[in-house]
Amino acid sequence: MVINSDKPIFIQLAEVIKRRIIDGELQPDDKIPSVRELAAEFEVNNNTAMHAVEYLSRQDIIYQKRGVGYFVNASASENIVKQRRENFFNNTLPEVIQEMKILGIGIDEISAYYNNTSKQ
Amino acid sequence: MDSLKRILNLVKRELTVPFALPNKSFFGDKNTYSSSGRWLFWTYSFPFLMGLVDCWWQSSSFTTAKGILYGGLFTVAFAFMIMREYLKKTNRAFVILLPASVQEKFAAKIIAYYVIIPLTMLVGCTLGYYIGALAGGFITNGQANFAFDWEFFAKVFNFSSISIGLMCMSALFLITSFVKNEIVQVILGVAVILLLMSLSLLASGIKGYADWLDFSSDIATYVVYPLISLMLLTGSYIKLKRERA
Amino acid sequence: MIEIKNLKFWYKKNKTVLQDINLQLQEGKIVGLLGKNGVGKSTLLHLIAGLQFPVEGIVTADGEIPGQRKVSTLQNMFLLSEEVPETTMTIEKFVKINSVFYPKFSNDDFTSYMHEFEVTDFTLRIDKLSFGTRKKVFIAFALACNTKYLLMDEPTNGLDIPSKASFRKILRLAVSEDKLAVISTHQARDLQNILDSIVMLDNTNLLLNADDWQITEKLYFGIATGEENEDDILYSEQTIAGNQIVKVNKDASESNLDVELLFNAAFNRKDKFKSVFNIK
Repeated sequence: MVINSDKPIFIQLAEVIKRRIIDGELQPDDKIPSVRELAAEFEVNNNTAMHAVEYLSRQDIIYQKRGVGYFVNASASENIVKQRRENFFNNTLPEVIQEMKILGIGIDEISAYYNNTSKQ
Repeated sequence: MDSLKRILNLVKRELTVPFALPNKSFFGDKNTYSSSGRWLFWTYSFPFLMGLVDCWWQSSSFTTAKGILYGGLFTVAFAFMIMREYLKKTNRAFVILLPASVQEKFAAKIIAYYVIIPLTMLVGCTLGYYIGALAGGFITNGQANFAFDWEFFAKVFNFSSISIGLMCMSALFLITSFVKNEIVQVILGVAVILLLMSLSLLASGIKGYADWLDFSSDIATYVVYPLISLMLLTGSYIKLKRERA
Repeated sequence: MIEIKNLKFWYKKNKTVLQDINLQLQEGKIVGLLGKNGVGKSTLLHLIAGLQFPVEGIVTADGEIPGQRKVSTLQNMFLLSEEVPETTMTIEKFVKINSVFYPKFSNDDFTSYMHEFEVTDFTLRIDKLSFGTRKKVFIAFALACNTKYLLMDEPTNGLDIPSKASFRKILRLAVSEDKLAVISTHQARDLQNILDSIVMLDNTNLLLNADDWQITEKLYFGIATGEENEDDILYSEQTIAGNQIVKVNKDASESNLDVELLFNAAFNRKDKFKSVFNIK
């Protein structure tokens, strides 16, 4: 993970875990590495690793088994996709629309592009 | 018992760190030390040379001088052994913080430098001298005299010289406890050793005290010198307790 | 826990190195000890290890005074100096001879740390190794001793970039909940993300002692928006990305602690910095 200084590191760490879940590297009910292991792997401090884990827990990506550790939620993949869809419609798309308006790009151009790339 | 195990390992550690002289010049490059082989060469070659040379110089006055020189070499060799641990500040810090009590560390030093090393030096130097004498005899007379000169041996290695030797060792311990600069350590060490060994010469000038300090007198050998050793060692021990790096 | 109360120290009477140092360091953390060159970081580490004795005040580790050098205390303390010991012994001999004194030493740990550092030939003589490699050997040894307290003085000096990353990894793995590591450094970037808390020394006194989250709670590290109150900015620096600043975190924003910027902020506006952290 190359650390980007703009985004809080704990979020970047969380995204890596999410990517591993989407890629299938981590399956539902798999145990994720301990806070210390995560801190070591990503070369961050305990607080950051803990923060990332709590963040993932709040987003229902992982659940905690007291005394044992954190595990991948059965519905983690769906939750991630749902969150990314939300993010797309709340953040990414408005930015694109904004840019389109500035550049005078119409929806037809987008449609055509979409159709062309879908064929590949 | 844990303590005993630590002492034994400390002794092992003292003996395992190669005893060596700097390899560049006499006090040479502080950072590189030669292996045990070079040390062996330095310390054992002299008795060998002495044995070799002895064939041409068979006078009694030289025998005493020989004894003193022999003993002096002994102690100078020890001086280097004691010194090398202190030569680098970080080594010193590492040793100070090595998990063993001050008593255990001191005990290990006594065992290593008062018992084991002197014994090995004794055997080595004697053998070196013996072989040198054999070679010398062979060169001068064409035949080797295999008889071992017990008389010389007894003359040099009797209780008096042992007592003086131990006193010199104690002085070296103290010097290395207080003095950090290794060159100063060597100069001071050699100076103090020569001073101690010539005490009897000095004492002969002081009326009434000649006996006490006479090299071979009983009172010197069994009381005065050991007392001086004890005082010096106590000083070293006290300094060791508060050693810093 | 390491506790330092009212510590005062000097080497020579008219030149105090440290004074009024009050510090409590808890297990489970990697603490970064920062300060300018010569400020007394090494000295503080030596005082914690018991290599030096306080002139005034007291230093304790688990209630024991390290200066008394009890075996039990020493077995739980390891100080790795900036300059590592040079010896003609081979790596394996050195480990064999010296590991005996540290009851929690693990050969498996040593081997795996050395593996991470890519030093595989243990038959090499230590004095023949390059400075960087020698450092790696002693870092691995220090960590493998598994002492409760691990003090390191500029451990990353002399390490190449991949080795610095390896060091971060193995240090993080080694420092479990029951251990404490205090690492002094002036190469802030080498360690920054892995530090759990920061202790800063300045001009004989303690300038800061705070956890990473406490710092980012009070200070924001990032790009200026242009709407900041002048007085709230402790430090600013023009970069390609924009105006990098350190400012008082008034709106509880999340940001990543940048140790170098923190350092600059502390010295740029010392009084403001002190007031933010309630330091006298």
